[in-house]
Amino acid sequence: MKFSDDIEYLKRIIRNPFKTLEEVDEIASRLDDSCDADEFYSTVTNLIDLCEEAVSNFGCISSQIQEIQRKWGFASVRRLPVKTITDWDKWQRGLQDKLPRKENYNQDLKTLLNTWKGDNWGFFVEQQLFFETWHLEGKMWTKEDIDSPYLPSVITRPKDPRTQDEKNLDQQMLRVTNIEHSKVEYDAVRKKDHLNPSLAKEVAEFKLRETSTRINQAKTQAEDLARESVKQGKPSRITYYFYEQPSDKKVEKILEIYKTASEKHSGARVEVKFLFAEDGDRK
Amino acid sequence: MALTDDIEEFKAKISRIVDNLEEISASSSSIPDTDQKDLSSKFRSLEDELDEVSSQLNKAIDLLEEIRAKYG
Repeated sequence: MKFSDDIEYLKRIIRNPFKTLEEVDEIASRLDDSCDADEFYSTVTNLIDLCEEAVSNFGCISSQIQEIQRKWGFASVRRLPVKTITDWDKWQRGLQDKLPRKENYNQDLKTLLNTWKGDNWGFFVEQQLFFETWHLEGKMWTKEDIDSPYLPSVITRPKDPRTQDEKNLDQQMLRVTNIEHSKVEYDAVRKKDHLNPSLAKEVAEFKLRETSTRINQAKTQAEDLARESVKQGKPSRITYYFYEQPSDKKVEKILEIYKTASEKHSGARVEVKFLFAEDGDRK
Repeated sequence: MALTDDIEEFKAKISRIVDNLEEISASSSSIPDTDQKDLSSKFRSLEDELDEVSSQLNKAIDLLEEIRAKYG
């Protein structure tokens, strides 16, 4: 299928909800005080069903857009729905507002703050991904490990202590497994029991905008995901969780790495997704 | 608020969704004429617009559920 065919298909399915919504409008026009209670109830229920059908149509359109991006090598860069997360405002304040004024930064302070900021972002994403479904480094389990004075107070730590066996398993699963002698690790790897069966492997990386250019790490990870994809005959997926929106240039640079790895390993498919929380300070 | 007002409010929401969907449709039609370098942001904006319409429609469903509970 050519790119133009995929676009034609997208245009066709975008037209689908129109018919449903026209029907909704027509049925709603018939609702008035003269309807008896039963008729009213069933008509509104019918309207709800039709609206839900249209919502489902939107889901299909969205999937097609993502499929086109994956298939033709465009990045899917989306904003994380952080605004709906309880206490996100406190998080943001914890990450940004407690920091000294920018004009007072020297290079050492910048580096230190960046490390703290990166750690905080990692804690937040760990919390969002859930320890139950992902292998994670799990720094959040032990409060005394955290030395950042800027850590927001809204972190919800797992209630049960993590056993040594669990720690060992997580560490083992986070390692890049297809490359010999590699010391590279992922920030998160989806647990096998919770992996979508259509995927070979699913991993995540947590980044600030400033730390996005660890090219060698990305190259090793791309190799691993491409090999795993070929081995299982299914796509692998990596999602980058950026605190600040990465520039198009950086996104393209990362995509190029995965494209190269996929071309090297014939038949490999690696989906690369980018999620970000804030537009970032572009000053 | 009377039933007719609630229905009118619902219909107004649907009408706005249809208008937004028309814009999405028009935007998708211009994909073939879009420069390669601008395609990523084009798809990104399509996805954002789609999320917005989906959220608007979910709010319309909430309103229908309220109407059903109130008058049904």
